[in-house]
Order: sequence, then structure tokens, then C-alpha cells
Amino acid sequence: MSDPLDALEKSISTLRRAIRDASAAGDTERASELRAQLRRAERAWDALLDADEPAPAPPRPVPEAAPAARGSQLPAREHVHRALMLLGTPAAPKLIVGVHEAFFPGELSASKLSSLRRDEERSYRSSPGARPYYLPPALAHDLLTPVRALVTISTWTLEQRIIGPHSPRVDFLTGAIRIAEAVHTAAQSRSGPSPEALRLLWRFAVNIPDAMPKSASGHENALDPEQVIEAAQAELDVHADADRAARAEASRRARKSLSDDQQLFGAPSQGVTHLRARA
Amino acid sequence: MEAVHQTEFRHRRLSGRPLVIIPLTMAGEAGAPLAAMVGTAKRDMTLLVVPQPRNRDQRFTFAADLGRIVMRYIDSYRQDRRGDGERSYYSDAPQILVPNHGGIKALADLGRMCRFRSTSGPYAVPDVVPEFGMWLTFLVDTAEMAGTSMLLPVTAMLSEHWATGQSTLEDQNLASLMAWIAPPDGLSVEQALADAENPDICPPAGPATSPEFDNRHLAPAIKRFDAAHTLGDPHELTTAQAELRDLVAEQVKPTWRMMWTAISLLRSVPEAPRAAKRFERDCVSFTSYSDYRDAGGFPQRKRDTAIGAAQRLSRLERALADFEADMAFDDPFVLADRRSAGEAFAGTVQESEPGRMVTTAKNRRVPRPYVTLRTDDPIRLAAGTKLISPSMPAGHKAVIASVHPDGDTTLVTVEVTGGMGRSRTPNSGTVPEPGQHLAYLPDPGWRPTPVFPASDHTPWTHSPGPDEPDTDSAVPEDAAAEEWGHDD
Amino acid sequence: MKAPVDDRLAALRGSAKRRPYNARSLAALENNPRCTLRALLDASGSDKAAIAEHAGYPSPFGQSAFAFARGNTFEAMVKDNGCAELLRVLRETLKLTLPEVAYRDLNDVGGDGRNETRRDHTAEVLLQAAQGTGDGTLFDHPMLYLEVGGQEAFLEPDLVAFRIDGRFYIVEIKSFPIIDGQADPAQVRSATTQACAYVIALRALLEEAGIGPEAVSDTIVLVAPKDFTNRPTAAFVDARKQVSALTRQLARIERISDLVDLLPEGLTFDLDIDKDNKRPRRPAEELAEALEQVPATYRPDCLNHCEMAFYCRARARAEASLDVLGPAVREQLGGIDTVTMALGLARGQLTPTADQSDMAAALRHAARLRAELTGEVGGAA
Repeated sequence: MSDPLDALEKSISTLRRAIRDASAAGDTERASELRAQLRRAERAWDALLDADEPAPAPPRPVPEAAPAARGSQLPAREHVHRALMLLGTPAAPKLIVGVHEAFFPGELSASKLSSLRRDEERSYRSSPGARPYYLPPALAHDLLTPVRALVTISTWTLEQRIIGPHSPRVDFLTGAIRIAEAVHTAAQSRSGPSPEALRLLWRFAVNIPDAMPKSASGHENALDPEQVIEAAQAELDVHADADRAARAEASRRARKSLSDDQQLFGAPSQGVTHLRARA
Repeated sequence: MEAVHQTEFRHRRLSGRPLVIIPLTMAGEAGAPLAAMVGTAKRDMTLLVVPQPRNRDQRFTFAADLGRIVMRYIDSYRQDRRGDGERSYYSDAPQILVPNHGGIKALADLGRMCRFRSTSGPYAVPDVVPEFGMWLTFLVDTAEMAGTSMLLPVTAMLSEHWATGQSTLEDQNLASLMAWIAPPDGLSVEQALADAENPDICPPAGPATSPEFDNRHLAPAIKRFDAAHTLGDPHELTTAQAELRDLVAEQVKPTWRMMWTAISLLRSVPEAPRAAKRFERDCVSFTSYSDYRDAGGFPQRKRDTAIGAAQRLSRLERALADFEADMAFDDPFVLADRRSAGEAFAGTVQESEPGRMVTTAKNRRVPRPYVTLRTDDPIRLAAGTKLISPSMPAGHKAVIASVHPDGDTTLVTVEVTGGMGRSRTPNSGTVPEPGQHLAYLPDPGWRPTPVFPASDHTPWTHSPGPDEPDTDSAVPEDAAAEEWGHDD
Repeated sequence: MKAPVDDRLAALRGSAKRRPYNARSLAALENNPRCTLRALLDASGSDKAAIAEHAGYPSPFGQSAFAFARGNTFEAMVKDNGCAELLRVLRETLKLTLPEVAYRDLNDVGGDGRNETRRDHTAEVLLQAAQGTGDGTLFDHPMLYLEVGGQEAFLEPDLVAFRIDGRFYIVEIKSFPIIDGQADPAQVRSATTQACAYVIALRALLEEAGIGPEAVSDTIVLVAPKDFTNRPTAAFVDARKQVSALTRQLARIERISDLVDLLPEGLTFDLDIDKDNKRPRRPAEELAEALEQVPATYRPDCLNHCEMAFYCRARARAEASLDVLGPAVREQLGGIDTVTMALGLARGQLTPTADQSDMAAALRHAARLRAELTGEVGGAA
């Protein structure tokens, strides 16, 4: 072993101990200074080794995000509205972004969506009805409070905007049907459905009994939208009555007990705690 | 306070050109490699880093890069064959050394991740990826077999020879173990031990990195890389990548250097005589897998069949018994341990009956001398136990005829059954004589090879995996893996 | 009867805020049940990490942000889109029928996220389900409750599934993979132990309404990523043994007074934290003295889960205790406590007690063999 290498390794160890001492003493400035020294020492070690490290392989180019120019310059809430209209059900931001990317041009990010949601109620309260539609949260069937994770459209009926115990599944199946229909329509067009659309449909189909083709090699292109629609509808028929009943009952209650704006944005959180005492 | 040696020999073969791999993985991810430092000498190292371990493409780029290095190394041993035709085998075999058992687990995961990958179709990977995966799986499988040397954790090699004053759990920490065996100059074992557990001085030897490092340094660096990637700014990207490399290098280099220090320490311990014989078996098994690969064999199946698993278990048990006997045969320290446990004994011959003859079932008269030894050892072997002896010429075999306690000592009478030559009188020096001191230990060769149902002719390593299609083959693993890149 | 014990425990903790039990600390009960020090620190709600640090042994525990993020992302993914992925795996494992999809979100009560509110709401919803008067198959993040040694513990399982045949199943969603049907046994074990606390708490809740323990299965459903994918698979884990073990440990906590009674008067682990600079004002030596008053049962395995482990190891080392070498050595040298004693017996410098005589003979024998070898290594064996 060559002497300079030994000496360098020793000073590297010393530096590491000094870093430990500095961090232990809470001296972050000194610690980061020492870290820089350590890095230089490690580079010197590399140089001494004359190790022929190949340059790091550049990461494979990832397909560029679609340039914004490709789509319209619609405001984000228009994008959301369009995606929700396609789905026809309350949806979480992640799904809204997924549907948008699968079927529509333009950029829509989850972070944009969350800031948008905050603005909706404020905008409504400052001048109700100034906009053709708002994007309020869904309402919980029992307490009629907002379900903040789910976005709806104000023009939908109360029944559509209420979430009963069966609604998450019913909405999932309804969404699956609507996505399959959209994929089916796209398949008739010249460009065909986008890879994102096929992947979205695949993600729905794998979780619906009998929605996947039997002999599937497993790839998305093997999916049959009509089979997905059929399978989703079959399970939907099982839940539809129970779901409709719960939503209808909750809507009646909401109309009776909530003001107009509450029917959109939900009952206030306080005042809901007078629950039955613990059983 | 220091480590003491508990064997006379190193029972593992140490290659003249081992390939050291230090794999690092990302916390919380299923087999997501973060980096690996790899090379055949301290001065010949390559650092591979996955800038965003959640990205599937980068993951397989890494697997391909590491695969090329490892396959180049393995291929360098697929050159010279000894012997003729079918029975010939490569005269040397590769040896991969990792820091600890976790390193083997990381390679096992990597092997599993790579070996079924397709080299065509929508999620194609380079050819080397599945090949590398299959080889890794082969090596990981051999590592479970006692006495093999093709893939070993250095901590296991060290703690086989040196006993420390800490638990086996702590012995798995390379830095702690080295602190006991060879603390850095000017440091006491106590000081070195404290350093060994401080991630600022001795970053963990992997595969996991320290949570503190993850949170304080790695996470922000990956974030910067991601940001640069999204922006598509080549300058930013290069800077971010270089920073990640530097960070990872700082974490892995102390272990790298320590690995080579450990290797030279291990070199200073003489190799056990019987290691050569075991190495020959490694060469044979290496050759057989190599030929199987050359013939385009299928990847190892995901899970053994019931019969395959039973066969494998039986082979593992046998290998362990053989290895333990080998060690005790070669190494007086190991023998002493077995004697203390009553599993072997040594003593002085009190009397012998060299002329004793018996008639075999085939009606032949053969010599079966009786020899009685007095031993102080707490012997726990019963009459009928077959024995071998490191103190007698090769081929010496005996069986315990009787065991009688006599005061503080024990009188053991053995019948010598082999190693006396072919004539009717034993060759000279093949029967222990009164006053001679000798040791016996159980012959591991006595156990019958278990017979398994013949329904499964193909060795488990060589079957195409009828367990596919999987229960949910409709779910393409690739397509699902695709999701990795988008989890926020 | 109870009050004096609680007073003593409060005094042990001193001025610090009580740290309530949670599923993790309850699970830890099973790891080293015989350790008095840990039992007292937990029962008094003391901050073990802060105490260990001030005693000079900062615990290196911390979770990597990556593991944390991955855990959250995976759970969210499993529950996305009306628990689509979760339903698929539960239909496979629990054989849920097609109509069993009703989902109840118990993460908050109309925006109210307080523990007590959630506990009451959970109780109401789960009891309705159990009595057949309410809807629900999937209960997302219910808030369960357990009284442990007179202290309240809030427990929040990832999910509780209720099957039509009238049984509740605890569902644990973990991000470690199940590769080819195999998961890391240590991780499975720790997930199961945690789930056991939920089983016990849920049974306690139902018991108040006169519903028997068989309504809660002691088979846990573990949901985890399949192989190297991001998609879940599910496996049953039999937790019967662990449930009864934890039940026993919980009963022991009720008898904490037995331990407390043995403590010297006035003992406290109070760090006397300065309100302004948040630093302990109590001299470290004084804290160390207090800690030394309490017996600890160190095992190397403690290093994996107890914040006090490095402190205890140092103490065991200082006493030359065989504990530092681990349970295997400990068992081999039954009846001998320290390295000093083992060496003394081996060298014949100590006279063994009647219990130790066999062990002493074995040690002397081993020592003689080693001495012979170290005198003549390399010679003929």
C-alpha cells in the first residue's frame, strides 16, 4: 500500500471524527465546512487511485412532457370541469389529473388543483352564482359535511354529490364505464387512444371481476373496452339500489336542514360533535 | 479487550482476485437499488448510482451496468477446463464478496428482479439483465450451502475465525467487527467500537443507508436531481448527478476500504487443508451452471416444488454436516470445541487388540482390532457411532463399541473398521498402539442419501418454472412496475 | 389503591408531558417483557429517547424519509378509487361477496379529527355494523381505544374489514414486499404484533355491547406490495399466539404497582427541561444514578427497538455481564452471570456453588483444551 494513500485515508478518518464532534456539539457550520473538506479529501483519494471511473451513465431520456402549446390555454378549473364531466362522478384530484392526461391536451398538476379548490368556496361566497359552475367538495351522507378529498361540479344534483357507503365503489364502476366509453370512442378516431388512456383503463379493469380478457398476455392493448363496460355494469347492478337509496335519503335530509350554500359546500364542521355518548 | 482467534485456519477459500460488491438500497422500496461499488482490487473500483431509485428505467440501466461488470468477471472464469469431455470442469471459479448477510439479500432481490425480464416487447431490457439475474440467483443459492466460496459475506468469514466480546447481531456490523479485530492505529477497541456505530465516522456497510443520511443529504439531492430532470436543463442535471455521486461515494468508500483491509487480514490466516477439496466442488457446480446457461437454460423458478424443496433441504443439511466435520478434522481449535460439547473426543490408548478378526456376512475373515482409549472429555457419543480420526492416516475408520465411565474419565472402546490395507493383518501404523494419543469425531458420511419420489426428474435449478403463469398473470409485472415512476 | 401507583408513576416522569401508549409501544411490550426499566419508563409515559440522550446514549433510531413516504404512498394507492385495489385483494383472501363494498371513512368526524370524537364515532359505527343495523364492510382508519395500566391509549388500524358472516378482520397495510409469497419475517412479526393491539382493543369495544371475542378474528390480513411491483397482494397471518402473549403483557402492566413498590422513595427520571432553551437542567450524573437504581434486562436484540438499548448495553458491559454476548451464550453458560465469573471458574480461581459445579467442570475442561492448543499451535494435533 502506498504511503500517500495511507496518509490520506488517515486524514479522512480524522475528518470524519471531527464531523462527528462538530455535529455532536451542534456546530452545523463547522460540520458542513468539514464535510466540504472531506469531499475534497475523497476526491484526492480517487485521484491517487487513478481509478478509471467511467462517467456516470446519463439517465435514459424520459419522454418529454407534452409541450403546453399542444393544448388549449384553458384555465385549470376548465380542465377539471372537463375531466369531471367525462367521469360523471365525484373524483379525487389524482384521478382528475389522470383522466385529464389520458384524454385532454394542456397541463394540469395536482398542486394547481389543490389551490384551485381553496378558491372555489371563497369565490362563491363573495358573489354566489357569478360563475356558471363551481367545483365544491362532495358531501358525506351521514353528517352532510364536506368530503374534502373528492371534487364535484355544482351543477350536479345533490344525489350525485353525496357520498354514501356504497358510493365509492359505485362511482369507481361508473368511472370505469365512462373511461371505457371514451377509449372506445378514441379507438374509432384516426390517432386512436393515447397510451395514458389505455393505462388508465387497465388500472380500472384489473380491479373489476371479469373485466380482463381471459387469454390476456397482460398488456394494455389487449383490453376490450366493451368487456370492461359489461363487467362494470354487472357489478354496478348489484350496488345500484342500495346506493341510490342512501343518496336519496341523505339528499332529502340536506334539502330540509341545509341552506343553499351549505347544500353546495357542506354543513359546518362544528355542531356535529353532539353525537350519542359512547355506547 | 480484543478479538481472539477461535480457529487455526481460514476455512473459506479466498480467491486471488475476488470481486467485491457493496450494494446499497433505498429505504422502504422493494429491492430498489440505490448504488453499488464494485471491483476486483481496492484501486480498481466502479461506483454505480441510481439517481432516482423509484424510476424503473434507471433501475434497469443500473442492473445492466452492474451486470456487465459482474458478467465480465464471471466470464473470465469460463476459460480453462480441466479433464476431458463431459466430465471436465473449469479450473477456477469466481468469488464475490459482500460486506454482510444483508448484501446477499440485496443481490438475491436484484437477481429475482432481473432474471425474468424480457429482452423484447414493450418493456425490453438489455440482454445482460436477465443473464445477470440468473447468475446472481445461482450464486445466492450456492451461498446457502455450507462450505461454498463463490459468494460470501466478509463479516461471516471474519467471525468464523475471530471471536469478539459482542453478540452475533453486532458481529454483522463490519465496522464493529473490525474494531475488535484490528482497531485503527492509535485507537483502543473501545474507541474504535464507538466510532463504528457512529454513521458520521463509519457509515453503515449497507444495504440500508443511515436514516439520518437519507433525510439530511440524500432526499434533498434526489429532489434536486428530479427538478433538474423535469426542467430538462442539462447543466443542472450534470451538477445534480455529480452531487449525488459524491454523496453516495462518501457513504460507501469507508466500507470499500474496510473491505480490502478485512480481505488482507483474512489472507494472513492460513487456508485450511480441506478448503481445496471443497473449492473443487465449487468449480464443478460453477461449470455445471455455466454449461446450463450456455445451453440456454431457463431462469430458476420462483418457488421450489415440494420435492425440489425437500431435496434442497437435504443437500443443505448434508453440506453443513460435511463442512463441520471437515473443519474439525483440519482444525484443532474446532476439534476442541466439539470435544467440549461432547461431540468428539481425544485420549490415550490404554490397550489394543490388533489381532482381532471377525467373519463378515460374505464369510470372509477380516481384521477388526479393538482399541480402548481413556479420555477426560465429556463424551456424549453412543455405541455404534461411526468415527474418523484426524490423528490417523487417511482412510482410518472406526466405530464405537462401548463407552464406560471410569471415575472422572471415560473408557471408550472402538472397533477399527477401515484404513488397514487389504491384507489379513493390518498394515503397520494403521492400528493405534498403547500410549498413543489420538482424537476421534463422528464420520458425517454415514447418513444414507435420502430417496425422493422420482416424479420430478429435473433438478430444481433447471426446471422451466411451471409455476407460471402466476395466479394473476393477467397483471403484467412490468406494467405495474411502471407505476413506480409516478407515485406522488 | 390505584392512586398511589399513579402518583408514583407521575413522579417518575416528573415535569415532562406524558407520552401515551400507542400501537408501537404496546408492541414493544412483547419484545422484552421482563425488563423493569422499560416497563417503568413506558408505564410512566417517560420520554425514553430524551432520557437516553441525556444519559449520554442518544438513540440512533429514526425513520428514513423514503420509507415514510413510501408507506404513505402505498397505503393511499391501495385505498384510491373507492379502495379498488384493496377490494380486489380482500375479495381474493377474505372471499368478500360482490355486494360487500360499503366504505366508511373514519379518519375524521365531519372535519373533527380529535381522538375522543373519532373514538366515539368509531364505536357507534362499528357497533351498528356488528349488530346488523349499519352499513359497512371497509372501515378506514377507525379510532380504537384501550385502557392500559389506567392510562388511555388511542389505536388506529389502517383498516378494519367486516365480513358478512359477522367477523371483523384487522387489515394492516405495509409497504415491505411479499416476494414470491415470502416476506421478511421480522417485518411481518412487528406488523402482526402491532395488529394484535388492535384486535384486543376492538374486542374490548365489542365486549361492552355484549359481543363475544370471536367476532374479531385473530387472523390478520396483511396487505403489501407483490414482488417488485407497486400493486398489493394480501396474506393471512395467524396472530393467535401473539394476541394471547400481548394480552398477558397487558395484564402485567396492571400489576405495575409490584414493580413500583420496590423503587426507592423519591426516584425520578425527570430531566427538568428548561422552558426557554429546551435543554435538560438536571445534571446528567444525577439522572444516571436514578437509572442505575432500576434493574434492566439487556439483550442485544434491544438494539433494534428500544431507545434505552445503548445505555443498557453500556451498563451490561461495565458489569461484564454475559448479556452482552447474547442469549445463545447466556443459555450455554446457565447459572453464570458475568464474564468475570466464567473466567474465574474456568481458571479454577473461583469455587463453584453446587449449582455451578457441572458448568465449572465444563469450563475448566474447555480452558485446558485451549491452553494446550495455544501452547502448541502448529504442532501435531
